[in-house]
Amino acid sequence: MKKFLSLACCSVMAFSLAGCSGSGGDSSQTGNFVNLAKENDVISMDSRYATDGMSFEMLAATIEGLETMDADGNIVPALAESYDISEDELTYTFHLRDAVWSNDTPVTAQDFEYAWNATIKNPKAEYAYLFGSDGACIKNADEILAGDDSLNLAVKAVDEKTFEVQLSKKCPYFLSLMTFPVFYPVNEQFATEQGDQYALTPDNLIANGPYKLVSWSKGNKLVLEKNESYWDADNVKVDGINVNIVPEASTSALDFESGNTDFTKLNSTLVDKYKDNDAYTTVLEGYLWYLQYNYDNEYLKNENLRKAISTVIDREDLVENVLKDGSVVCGGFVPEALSTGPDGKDYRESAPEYFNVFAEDGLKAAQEYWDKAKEELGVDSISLSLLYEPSDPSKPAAEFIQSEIQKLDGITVEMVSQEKENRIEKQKAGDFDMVLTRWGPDYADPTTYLNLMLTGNAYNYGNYSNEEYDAKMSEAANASSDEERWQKLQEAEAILMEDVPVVGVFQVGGASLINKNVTGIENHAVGVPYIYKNLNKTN
Amino acid sequence: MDKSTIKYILKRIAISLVTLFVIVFVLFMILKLMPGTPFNDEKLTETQKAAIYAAYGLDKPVLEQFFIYVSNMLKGDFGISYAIQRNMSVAGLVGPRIGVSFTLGIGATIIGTIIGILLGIVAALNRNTIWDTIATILSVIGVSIPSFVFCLLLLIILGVQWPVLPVLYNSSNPVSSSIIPMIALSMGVIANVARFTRSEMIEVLGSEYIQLAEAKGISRKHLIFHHAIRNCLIPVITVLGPIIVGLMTGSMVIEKICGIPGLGSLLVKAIEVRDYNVILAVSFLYSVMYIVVMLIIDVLYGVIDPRIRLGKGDNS
Repeated sequence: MKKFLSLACCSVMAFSLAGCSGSGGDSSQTGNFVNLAKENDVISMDSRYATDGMSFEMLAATIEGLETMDADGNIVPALAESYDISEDELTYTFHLRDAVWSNDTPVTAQDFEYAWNATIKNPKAEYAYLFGSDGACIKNADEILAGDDSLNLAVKAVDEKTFEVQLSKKCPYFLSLMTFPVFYPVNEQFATEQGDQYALTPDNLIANGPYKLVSWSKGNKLVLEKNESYWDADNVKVDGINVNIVPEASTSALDFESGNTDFTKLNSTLVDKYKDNDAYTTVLEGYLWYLQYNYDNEYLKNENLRKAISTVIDREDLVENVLKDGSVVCGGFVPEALSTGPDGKDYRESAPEYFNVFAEDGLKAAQEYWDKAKEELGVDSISLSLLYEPSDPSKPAAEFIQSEIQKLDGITVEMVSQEKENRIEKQKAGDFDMVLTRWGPDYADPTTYLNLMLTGNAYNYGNYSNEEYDAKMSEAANASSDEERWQKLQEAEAILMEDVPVVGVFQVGGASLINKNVTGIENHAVGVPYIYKNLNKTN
Repeated sequence: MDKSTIKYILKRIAISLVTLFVIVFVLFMILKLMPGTPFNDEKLTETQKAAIYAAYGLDKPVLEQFFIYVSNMLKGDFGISYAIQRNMSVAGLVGPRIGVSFTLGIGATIIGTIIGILLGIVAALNRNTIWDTIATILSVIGVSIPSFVFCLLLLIILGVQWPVLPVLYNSSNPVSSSIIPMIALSMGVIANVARFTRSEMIEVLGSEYIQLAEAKGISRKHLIFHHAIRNCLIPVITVLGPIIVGLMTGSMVIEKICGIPGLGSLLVKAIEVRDYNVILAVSFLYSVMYIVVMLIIDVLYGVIDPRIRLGKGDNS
């Protein structure tokens, strides 16, 4: 027993001593590293399979595509030094710069041709649809997606440095899609050698971007080091990035306080604690949560009822006092910071704000609409269901919406809570009266939202249909100039907001803590959420 | 080990294998009945979804899928992950996490048991004194306050206020970053073990053979360490079984708080995203561990207390 006890004491002491040797970070790591805390691990480092934000971030840190985004969201050249667009805007020719993969093989046009065909022909690649007419409109993509194996995408490596892409129709946002990881190149020889192990571990990966992945402890940590063979390595300021996977925001906030973490996101419960901290900052994300009305419901067919509901929700109160996480009111059906028009302004800046009456005024206006609706419908009281998912921020927002709508005498809102997947199933089946749903943009253009409301669109769950709207959208698609197109899109949104088949409730915000000495954490509302190429840390 | 014990163990192993098969079957069927899919992107069309299902063999009849799964499993192939890490083999995903959860769980059990037994003995030997009261208060605190509260408290004190230990778990520096979660996890063990040891020790000390030994003039130290402790350990071992399994399979909350890549957090994540193969593999592993630990404990009874005869007891 004595022996046992002394052994136990020794081991406890050994543990404690080992504990004193270092706190946080890798003691073996030297150089200027930025430490990020992230909620989720990477799901796939294979650009053909990646569909989540975290995978996009790590892919963008290690691999470059034809184009990328600068800090302000402008499309800037990456591997394509320049490009030509044919007069009919159906052929894009990219001229690649001299760049190499981290195994010293050159990046060629063939790498793009191979990757794109390998993606669209792989039934397991979920984002293959972005090659078709719901995305980049590349010729033959729709046919291949429909199962025609005999075709290849209309893309061609003209020579090692020239890559040509043919489109099936004009696609004004084509270049913005080229920043999306599913359009990144893959080195065919390397990928084939690795087989089904490709991109699963750092050893099975090669980089052509600012950093390379040197270690990946699943569920815990990724270490990126500067890629010295990157074409623009001179502009990469830090030696690397440590990405710690911390599912609990309160722990990463504690680590931030201890001085080890340089960047972490916060959840809404932490916002009050840190909002006065110097390091506190908020960013806008692309997701728009909106309320969709079902036209198959006998009451919701009534425009005044839809307007009454859309007006009575005090969205300002919602974002400021309920969500408190940097989310903002959305003044239409196209979120902020998504797309810049030919005038150089954000879409929302030049488009009007809809339903922007709040508090007492909002309630008064809503009451007027509701009185009209009651008269037209010949009812005094109605009951409507609200479908939502029981997670943040949907749950608190839905509960708020319920209480707001019930301020109108005679409307009862019955809450239907369903997990996200079941919510979507119910939407698809048209089994709802009102639903609080969200949409993440596929590309930096208003049509990624506006297309949803076209007659017969697969996501037009409420069965809205207005010929005038469809016509306006088609006019926009065939517009002769960018200015005209922008104008038509804004007119289309105006029609939509007059009919109100949907009303934007809020655009998701992200509150975070960023070390004052760290710069270059560039956030984007569309595509890759964070780009780290320009990171810098001063000590 | 005598023949009847070996026979008993073999019989238990055989029963365990059947149990495991049934568990896998039931799990497999439940997972197939569970609503949802690992490919839940709203933007996937039905055609695309069907193509993905066909590519992964998920479109086959459920029974056929089950037998394919079992036959692969017998070859050591637990399939690939669909949603946690796309196309990674489940063995490669689960494997490294076993070590992490085991180390943490066993560490917490060892710390908890040693401190718990010491506290229990101190309390029993000094019954109704201030020491007994202190030990009891400590046990009540350990049982009633959840381990994650201790964990957060330790993180704030030792990680932020006096930063001697890291806040985040770090797989390249696992020793120092495991101390806080290990201590937090051991609190419950300390409390449970201390309570059992105390009551058992009091009972043993009052028994006739101890009184006889005392009357024979054996020193108190010898009496306690050689006669009393051994006998009071039996019920402690009974409670330790489920505690060890519980801790080794990973405390989901502690893993989440400290960012520890263990089995518990993996299972929760896998269920959230319907990663079938990962759920199956981790649940299977849990079942195996539970069965093995229970078997070991049954055998240990016989070693600690020769009065318990496994083979005969089982046959009666």
